[in-house]
Amino acid sequence: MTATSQPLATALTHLQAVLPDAQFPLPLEEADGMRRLAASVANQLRDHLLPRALRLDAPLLVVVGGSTGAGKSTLVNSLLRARLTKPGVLRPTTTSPVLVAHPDDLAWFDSGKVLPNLVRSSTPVHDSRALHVVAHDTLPAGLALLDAPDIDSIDDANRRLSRQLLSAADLWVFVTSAARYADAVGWELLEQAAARDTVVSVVLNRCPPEAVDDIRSHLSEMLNRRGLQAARLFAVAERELGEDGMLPLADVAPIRSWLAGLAAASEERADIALQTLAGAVRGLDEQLRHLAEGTRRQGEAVDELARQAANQFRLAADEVALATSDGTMLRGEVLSRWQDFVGTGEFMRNVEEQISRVRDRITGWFTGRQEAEGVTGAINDGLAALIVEHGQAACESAVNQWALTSWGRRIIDANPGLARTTPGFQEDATRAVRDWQADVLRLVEEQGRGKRTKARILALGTNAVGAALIIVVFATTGGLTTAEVGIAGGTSLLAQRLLEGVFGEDAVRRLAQRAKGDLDARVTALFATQLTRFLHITEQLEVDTGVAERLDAVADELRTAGGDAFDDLTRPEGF
Amino acid sequence: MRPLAERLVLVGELLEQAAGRLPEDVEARAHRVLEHAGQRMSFGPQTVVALAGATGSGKSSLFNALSGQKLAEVAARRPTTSQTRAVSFQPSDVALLDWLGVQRRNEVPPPVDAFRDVVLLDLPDHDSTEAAHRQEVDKMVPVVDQFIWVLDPQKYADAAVHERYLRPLARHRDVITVVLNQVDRLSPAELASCLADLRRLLDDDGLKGVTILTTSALLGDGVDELRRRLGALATAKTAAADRLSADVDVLAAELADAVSGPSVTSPSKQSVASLERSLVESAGVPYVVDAVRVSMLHRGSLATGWPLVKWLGRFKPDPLRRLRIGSGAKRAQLETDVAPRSSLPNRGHVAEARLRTGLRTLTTELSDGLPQRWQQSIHDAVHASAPTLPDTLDQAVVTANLRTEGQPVWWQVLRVLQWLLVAAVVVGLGWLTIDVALTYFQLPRLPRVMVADVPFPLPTLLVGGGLVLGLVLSLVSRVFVGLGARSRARRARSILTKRVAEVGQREVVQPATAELARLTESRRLVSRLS
Repeated sequence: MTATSQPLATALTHLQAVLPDAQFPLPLEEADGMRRLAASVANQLRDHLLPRALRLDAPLLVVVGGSTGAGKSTLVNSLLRARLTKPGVLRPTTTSPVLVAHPDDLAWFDSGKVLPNLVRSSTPVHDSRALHVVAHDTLPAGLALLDAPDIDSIDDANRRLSRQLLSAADLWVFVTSAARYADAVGWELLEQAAARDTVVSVVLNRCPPEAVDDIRSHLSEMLNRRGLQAARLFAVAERELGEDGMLPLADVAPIRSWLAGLAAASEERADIALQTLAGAVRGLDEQLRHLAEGTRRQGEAVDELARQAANQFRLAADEVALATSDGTMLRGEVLSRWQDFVGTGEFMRNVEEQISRVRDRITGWFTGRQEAEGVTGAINDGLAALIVEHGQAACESAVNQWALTSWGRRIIDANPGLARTTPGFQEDATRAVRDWQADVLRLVEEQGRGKRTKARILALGTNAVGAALIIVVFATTGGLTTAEVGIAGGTSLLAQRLLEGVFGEDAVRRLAQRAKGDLDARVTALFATQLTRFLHITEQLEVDTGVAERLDAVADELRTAGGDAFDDLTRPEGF
Repeated sequence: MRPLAERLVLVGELLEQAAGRLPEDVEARAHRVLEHAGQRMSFGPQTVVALAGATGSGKSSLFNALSGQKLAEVAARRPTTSQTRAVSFQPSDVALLDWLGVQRRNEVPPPVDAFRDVVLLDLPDHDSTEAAHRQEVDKMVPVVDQFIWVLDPQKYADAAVHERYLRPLARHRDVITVVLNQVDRLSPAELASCLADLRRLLDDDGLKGVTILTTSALLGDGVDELRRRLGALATAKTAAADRLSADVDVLAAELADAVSGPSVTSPSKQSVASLERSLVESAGVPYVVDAVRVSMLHRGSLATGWPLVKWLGRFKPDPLRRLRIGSGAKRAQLETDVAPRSSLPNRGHVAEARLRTGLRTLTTELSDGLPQRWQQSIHDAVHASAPTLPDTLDQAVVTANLRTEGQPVWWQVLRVLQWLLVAAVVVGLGWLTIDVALTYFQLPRLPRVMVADVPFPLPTLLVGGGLVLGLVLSLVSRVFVGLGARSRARRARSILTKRVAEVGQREVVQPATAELARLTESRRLVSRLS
């Protein structure tokens, strides 16, 4: 083990701790890709990077991968001159991957340090989560061959496993055939390998003998074009297989001797391992930045959703606050109740002078309490209707806002009742209004602690004074009585004068402000019960906003550690 | 299954019924299917057969074998074919080939007679590194009449062909033939197990029962059988229609989704009633009704009140006049052509909130559970007149004849009576005044007139009785005026409620019902389609 690989191993361990937190619960367009990327980085980290960083001199893992029907298994058998894996005509042929290692290296591969999530098995099984490990002494020590499943198989699990195994490889042997060598799927993987600087060798198998040279030159052209000129290329002609089901020894001899050479030169082996490791770590940097960016976007998108919903409910609360202070509440029902209550008052040009008359009239009606309840009842209905409507409108417009994005639409589809208020909202609103009226009455009583004031309130009735206060609240915009007041038939002016007669001017203003503040707070609290449904959804997504920074930090750490570890790396000749 | 032409007409009708109410992509696809089918059917009766498959499966070899000529280049270098090549077995239908977008064309004599009406296409591969080839295949897949998917023992299980092409074409299984080529590479036992495996994969793709043929383009095995099959298809001349019909099948499934949901044909009584309540509120009807009551009280007391004090009432405003309401449309039209707006105060937030809640409740009831686009269209129908609704309601209120103008006969009688009583008082007063004057000048007084059994002389009786009776009469009539005002107010309420309900029906309920009828009709068309 080189001294410099220790910080690298530490950094990789850190990465392993951070990765599970990089979640992409919000269905953004890129989320699927991000999830796949995170999973593949996690696999690569577990299967290749960590074990390799911990032990640079561990046996080299050579993964033989390629397309369905390209003859991987036959090739592996022919190389080892033993029927270790089972080729066949049915696609996909290899289900559980087979790892062939020298008996001396068996301990390392059985230890579970490499590919720890695959269950080891000593017999072939039909399970893509198992690894069939075979000891075979034809294979030189320091080298293991892994026969991976098809990269383009129709079986999803097989396809995923093949990619996982390829990313665990120190060296790829990519097997293709004359019919396959231009397939897009294979080249996608080869391009990834090129980008990641993985050491690759390509075997062109099942090649019609007459076309070997033609195809070989075409293939090597293609490799050059894609930056894989360093890849060693072997061509094997297609022939009748021998009775043992293997290719003639002469055809695979070049590959055999090349592998034997690798195994013999431990320095070259280490170089290969190091180059692939360095490439993978370098490739990791971009992937981690990408993941960090992705988690950041998740956080932003979730925040945006929460903000949009909160915004709609704030707007709704603002609108209710405005509607309850510009005097329009006093129209219609409320107005006529109030007029019934105090008389039309149209002759009262100077109410101040006639306050006693008003009082007499009110007390004279004596049933004034009921009349006052007429006023508060009318207010109750109107105010509740107003609040319910704005609450519903806010739910609807929050949903409409969310529906502007595709992920928002997915959330809405998953929560069909979101656009409506909760079933008890109407009752809640009515209760909130009644509670508020009770508050107003309490306010009046509190204010009327003084003897004189108390006497005046008693003369009018607490409910009447409360109703008057409510009237004043609805006519007060920012502490000023609006022009609307005049239109409302002097309604609130009368109420104002009445209250001023009882409490004095300053106290009335203070009372009105407190009562209004109280109403606004109740409305906001009521809307909060609806907003919670939206925020609950965004919270349930559990987007960890700190992950992006942690990923960036690990990427920085890896960059430093990797730079130190691979500074002295020189590319081995011929790769 | 209805004939293609009839199904296309149904699609056309549906597109008219449900324009803008289907998911955009589905609607666009439906238009494409219609347009495409129209174009395809306008060409000759030839059957367009496409050989499709992976690179190296031997499409071109098979193409050459089928046509009996060495037309397509066959090579070991992959991918070989980069452009679609067509071969016709009679003078080419240039328009058809232009429409298909095939540039490389050949004409050869038919290898068998039945091939005269076949146009054979050799498509490029779909799985090589050349993305352009894949695009060319994707372009041809929607337009050909019959597919021959050429698979080979090496590649028959590739995800590329199954996931990208065969599964999406599941509803087209009647126009698909699968050919396993290069069978010369397999032993008979291997071939049997390979075919069984292929059948299993195709079943998984949803292509149960699709024809699988085996060929060896190299040795010529199976080529005759494939020729016979294609020849039979071409002679039947139904391949094009079958393919288009399969397109319609795919479309029909999507359309069925787009018109799914519960079936509602009209709004429930309760929601219409609650809508009407909110409209009544928002039109200010309670306000007007109250004004009618106050107005009638006012006018009544002006007419029947005690003449000595009732003039004071003239200083009070008449609420109906102030609101400019109640005279009905006739008087308004005498003045101008346009009915004036009432002077009702602007609707308050509460009335507005009630109106919006009413509309929302109706929308929710009608559109719950429907696909999103239909929900939207019903929402739009319900809210179509929302911006003009306040004005329409106001007009309905202004032009309503509340029958507040006429005066009841008893008002007239009472008025005369009151004046008679005033006259009696005046006469009595005059009499007494003359008596006083006569007494002052110590002249003989007028004869003392007594009415039988009454202890007061007549002039005193006239003055006192007139005053007392007038006052009593005005008080009594006040009670009746009050009752009358209340009944007028009730009548006004029922008139206005009826008018507002009419507005609600016309402006809200009818558009919504029309939209529901549209949905029902669309559903009927879709059900006939499949």
